[in-house]
Amino acid sequence: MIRLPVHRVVSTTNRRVLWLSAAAVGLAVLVSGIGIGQEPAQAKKAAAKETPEKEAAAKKTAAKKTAAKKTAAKKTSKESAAKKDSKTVVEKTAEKKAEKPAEKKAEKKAEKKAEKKAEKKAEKKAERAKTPEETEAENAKAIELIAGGLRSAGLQGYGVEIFFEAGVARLQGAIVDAGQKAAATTVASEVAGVESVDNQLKIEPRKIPYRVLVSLAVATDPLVTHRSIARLRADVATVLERTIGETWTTRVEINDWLFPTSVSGLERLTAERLQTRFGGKGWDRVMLVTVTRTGARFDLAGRSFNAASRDLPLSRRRVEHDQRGLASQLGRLVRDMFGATVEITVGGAKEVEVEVRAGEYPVADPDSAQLAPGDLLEPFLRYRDRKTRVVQRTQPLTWTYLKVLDVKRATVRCEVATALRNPLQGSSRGVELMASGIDSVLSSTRLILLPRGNTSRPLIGHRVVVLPRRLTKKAASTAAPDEGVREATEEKKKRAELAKPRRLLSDRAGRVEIVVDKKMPLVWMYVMSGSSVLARVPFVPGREFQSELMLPDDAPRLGVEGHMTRLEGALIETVARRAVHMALAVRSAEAEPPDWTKVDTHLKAIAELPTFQTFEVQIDGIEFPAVQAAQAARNRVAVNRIRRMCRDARTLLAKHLDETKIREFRAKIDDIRKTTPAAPATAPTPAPTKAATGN
Amino acid sequence: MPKLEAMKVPDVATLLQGKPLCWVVTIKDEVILSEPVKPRPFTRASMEQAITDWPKGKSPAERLDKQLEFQRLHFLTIVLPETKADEPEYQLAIRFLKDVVHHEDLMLRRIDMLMDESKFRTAFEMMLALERVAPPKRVGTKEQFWPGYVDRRNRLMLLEAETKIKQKRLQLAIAYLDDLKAMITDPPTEAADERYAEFRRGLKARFSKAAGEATEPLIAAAVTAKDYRKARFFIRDRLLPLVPAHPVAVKWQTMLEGQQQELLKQSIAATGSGRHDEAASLAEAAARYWPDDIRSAGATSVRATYAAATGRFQTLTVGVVTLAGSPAGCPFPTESDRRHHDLLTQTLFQIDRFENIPYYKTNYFERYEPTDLGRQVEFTLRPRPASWQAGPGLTADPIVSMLSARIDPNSPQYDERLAMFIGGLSVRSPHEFVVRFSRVPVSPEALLRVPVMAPSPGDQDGQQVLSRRFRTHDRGTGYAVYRREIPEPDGLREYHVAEIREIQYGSYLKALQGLVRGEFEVLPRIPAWHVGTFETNERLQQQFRVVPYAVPTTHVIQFNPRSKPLRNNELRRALAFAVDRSKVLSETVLRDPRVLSDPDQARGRVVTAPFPRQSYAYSQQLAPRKYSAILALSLGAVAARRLGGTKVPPLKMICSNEPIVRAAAAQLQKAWKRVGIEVQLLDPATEKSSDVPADWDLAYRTLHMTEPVVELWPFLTMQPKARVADLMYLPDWLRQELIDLDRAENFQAAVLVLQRLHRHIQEQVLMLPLWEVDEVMIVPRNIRGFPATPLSPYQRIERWTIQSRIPPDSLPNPKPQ
Repeated sequence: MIRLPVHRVVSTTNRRVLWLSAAAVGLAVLVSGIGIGQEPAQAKKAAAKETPEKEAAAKKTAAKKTAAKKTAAKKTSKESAAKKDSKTVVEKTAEKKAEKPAEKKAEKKAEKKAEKKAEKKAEKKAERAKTPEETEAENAKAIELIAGGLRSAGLQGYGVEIFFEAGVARLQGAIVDAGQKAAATTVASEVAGVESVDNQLKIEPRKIPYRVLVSLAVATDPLVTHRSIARLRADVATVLERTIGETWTTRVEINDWLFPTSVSGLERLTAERLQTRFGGKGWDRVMLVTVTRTGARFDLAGRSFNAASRDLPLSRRRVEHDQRGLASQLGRLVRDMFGATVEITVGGAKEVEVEVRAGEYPVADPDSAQLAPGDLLEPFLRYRDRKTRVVQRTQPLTWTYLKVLDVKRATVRCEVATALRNPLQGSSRGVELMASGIDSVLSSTRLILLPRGNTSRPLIGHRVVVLPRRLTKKAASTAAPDEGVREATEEKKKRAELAKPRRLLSDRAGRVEIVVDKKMPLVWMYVMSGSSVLARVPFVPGREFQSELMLPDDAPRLGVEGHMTRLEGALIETVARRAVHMALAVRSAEAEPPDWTKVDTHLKAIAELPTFQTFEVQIDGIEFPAVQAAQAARNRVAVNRIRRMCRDARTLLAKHLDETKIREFRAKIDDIRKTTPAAPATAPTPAPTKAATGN
Repeated sequence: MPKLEAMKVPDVATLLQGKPLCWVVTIKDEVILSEPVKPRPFTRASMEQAITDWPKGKSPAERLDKQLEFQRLHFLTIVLPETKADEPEYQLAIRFLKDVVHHEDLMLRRIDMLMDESKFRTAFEMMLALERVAPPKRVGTKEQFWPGYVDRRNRLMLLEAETKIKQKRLQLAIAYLDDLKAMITDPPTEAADERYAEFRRGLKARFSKAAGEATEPLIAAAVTAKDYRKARFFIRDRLLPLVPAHPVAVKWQTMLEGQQQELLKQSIAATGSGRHDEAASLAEAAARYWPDDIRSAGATSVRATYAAATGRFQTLTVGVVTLAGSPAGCPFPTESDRRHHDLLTQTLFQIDRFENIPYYKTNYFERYEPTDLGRQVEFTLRPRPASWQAGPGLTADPIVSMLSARIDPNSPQYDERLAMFIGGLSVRSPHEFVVRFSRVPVSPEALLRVPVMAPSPGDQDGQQVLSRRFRTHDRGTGYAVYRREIPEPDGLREYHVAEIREIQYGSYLKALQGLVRGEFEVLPRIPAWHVGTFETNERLQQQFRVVPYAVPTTHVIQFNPRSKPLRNNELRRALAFAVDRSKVLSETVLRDPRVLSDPDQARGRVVTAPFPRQSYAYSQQLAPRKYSAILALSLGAVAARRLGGTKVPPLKMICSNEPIVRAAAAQLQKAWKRVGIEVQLLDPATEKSSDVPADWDLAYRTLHMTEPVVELWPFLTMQPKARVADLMYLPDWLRQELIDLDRAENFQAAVLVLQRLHRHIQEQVLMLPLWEVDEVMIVPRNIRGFPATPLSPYQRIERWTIQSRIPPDSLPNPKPQ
């Protein structure tokens, strides 16, 4: 592995920074994207309108502040000439960000010394009577200190202006989030002479580009030279600049700490480890990329750390056989690893509106747009300390996804797919409702079905139906009915209209394999138990190896369903037998001559058939223990379902085993018996007659 | 009056249908036609004898009184036929009488003429008529025929035999000769007439020649066809009884004995060089040539050599209707497949006996001990296999490797169920290993009823089974030969079956004929209606034992879970009610009316579950559905409506080629047709077309489910292993009940679940259990070591011993009690 010194890094934005530095001369303090120095195309136009006014104001104050400039120039020899102006443009370039700690310490020491000297002198001057020029110089100095502080804190903003007068510092412009806004206040208030801070910074992430660090790790190889690695780094930077454009502020560095320099090294990484390493450095994304050569083949692998969600998705892999295409392939890999970060601005149960970070910037390559209709986002909550506004933790919203419907620059409308009632209703103080783009990496994800309260006993043999869209629970059970369940014709028709569902069955570990379908990245999973739907959850497979789904214990209800099915079978037999006996009895009664013996036999058989009461006793015997079991498990849903099932069964029995039908039938037979003339003696009767005669 | 020379013998019709007449020949050779005269035969001689024997009276008065009677003896009463005279009777003095040619004599003359003209059939009819006209008189122990009758009959028989020989109808010729032989043993006492004197003298030589000519081609043909038993039959049972020490018989017997001696010498040489299989084969071949010892100096005893060779390398011949591995027409194992599998594969544990629960034994483990409340079992293997064991001994390594493969999801041998139970495996030494269960199984033995799989050099079928018993040695049309995987070593005191030879017969009847003929020794299954014969017939009892199987064969109709029509509850019920199972069992399967009249005595009974009635899983409270055609008809109509038509769509049924199964299936098909449900019985699979269509609806299966705890799941899913994925097509509640069964924590819980499942399966008609049949195996009495109630035909076959016995050409007569 080739290790390069840290200072040998390049930035795609150097040219822009320099330009901005020059353009800002004579303006009020303009912190143009601290550390980045980029501005959106739209913002440029606005800035262009504002420029003449600012230039005029600058000219007016320029003469007054000449002395102050000279003083400042003497005190901080390392500062650029532009800083000598009373209105200073502060930039933080990538090179400075990468300076060694020793240099920083030296700088800080120098700054502190300078500050102390300045303070002493200011005190001395204050002891003396201050002239307006001196006051302005002091203000300028304070502004410079505030700007330096903001820069050191790694804050990201756009069009940030600092005003300082009579101990009051006023900050204006756009900043990425509340945390940084709070940090800006803190930094400004810590500057000597600042008595209060009027923080008028607006949180407008749409205008703030992402800060992306591409950390390129190339495996040690005798055929890979330092020069080629440096060239690759430069090429990747160029490719990214051309494809992504202003949406990202990218720095490509050579990674010297990842071990092993391969996909296995990437897979060993954890989000916590990366958070520790890159946490305070202001990067929005850290793209770790490895390049390993095997013969003429280059194996590329990458993993992206999302600082906003503190999430580290699984690694992606690519193979390239042409060394000339390596930079392009790497660029595509980095682009594909990127997922947009959005803030949910308007919440709702079915649809939400989100604001996309750096959404105001157009992308250089249309294929590299942050979001397109159909893309998926996973919402998460970001908790901040109420006082310090520092992000404490993030929490993903389970079984909830956003699907992009419509994109209008930075404002995007999304459809909500969730298993919860209304999880995106709105954020509260201290909690930010955000989402980040997601994509499938694996070919499938293993889902483990576990019962609540007893995870050691996975749910085996449970049906999971995968459908492309959300259905009502009843419709879902119609879409994939249980085997042996009777269906009405209408239900069959409805089922035929629906897309053919994928039917899965959980194995002995309670697992089902949800395979990624590129046409259907978001699926709805219905965990079925008989005719009941245990769970209905949306899911994007291929993002993790396995996931767990907790479900209620449905055994008592399912047992009752089995019993009801069997009772239904018994009912069918009873009804069929009754119908047969009735038909035969009628036929015997209407025969010439009527065979009343047979009629009586059939009537007796009908009387011996199970009645409604017989079945009801059975239902009671089934319902009571099942309800008891469900109540013991505190499963109220199951209790209600059991009761409903038993109620439905009773209704069915009452309908088919109606005693009035039997009574009507008996009355009909009696009528026939009465109306039929007395038949001549039947076969058995002559014998006694003869016997009587004989006697 | 016509002269005698001018007289013509009446034709056949006149003799048979006309009035019987005789020729009275006068001393002038003139013939008087008369009705039959008396005395007869030998009329003149009898008259003269009567005159001579006339007793002389003592007194003249007495002499005078009988004078008239004495005078009458000198006259022959003649009745003229068709005369118009008032008194047709005439008296002819004896002095004018030369001879009387009786009607019978005329018939004999006509017979002679017919024989001369080779009209044997007519001659034979005349003979029969003559026998009726002049029936033989019993004199003492003998029968006395009309004079000349016996000579003509003998001539006729001989001529017939000779003619048949010329016509190459040799068996018929032998039959004539056989009859003739019985007759010539008692030659007639009367003097032969001129014509037949010469015949009598040459009869023996002609008879012997005819016998030789009749049998020799048959013997030669049998020898050419290597049917020495047949050749022996013609020599010993046909020719020698006709003519003892006939040269033809001697010639062929000498030839066969020579062959026998040659083969016996080769057999002895093969034994000496350790080629026991070849020695046994040669001894068997020698016995096939001539099974008896030769009484000559220096001759090798066939019995001793045969006993030595076949005792060392014992071959069991088995008659079967379907050879193992033949296309069965079913997608699941049939009887022959199970037999084949049991013979070839040895599992770690096998069922030793069955009462209402199975009892297991193992050939591999010396000891296995559950510890930690059954969560761990320590196995100790036998240091070396027993001498009788047919397969190789095992060490812990292949067993643990096999178990590891079975619990590895990436292995083709992956067994979900085993993987669920086994938590860990460890090898302690080459002969010790430990299985740790993550879940305590109800029966570890049932779970480990698996063969040990490992690559082995002698792997024939690529299945990589290491724990083998026998292997296929040879296979051809109509036969299959299996031999021990590892032969028994030399120097043992007792040897066991080394080779099994299955011979295929077209039907059970043919197989039974073969058994009685001695073509094979063991008949694994026979139709129930023949069992009684073996139990009552003395000759059969003396030769064979009737061995009942421990587990009855259960016959079941299984529904294809993928069949759409059969998802309909009413249709399944209609199918169940439409079949009068007792009747089919009684009339087709058992052919025993006791099924209806006295079910306890019958060899089969109607059941409600796919497992035996005596099994622990069987819920005795459940009664089978009663036959009700009208209810079936009604339910069928409802089902048809629900299926969207006026008639139930035709269903397809598959079943094995087994004749009884096929016959029963045809009966079921008829029963369903009567209630309007068309079921097409798919054609049996043949060697050429063994493909089974996938779209079948019903399957007729036979099975022996001894351990329902582990066997019910694969049975319901029709798969060899219990996989959850195969439960997809079952209703959720049934699926969960099967899973509950697998998860049962103890035997009592498993029994409860099983009996519940039994009830639910019966109530929901998820299959159609038909009946169970108590099957038997026919084993000859010279075999020892087989179990009293075996579970399968080849159970413990490694320990069977056959006492050497040259197969008899026919069943011996029963010994007197």
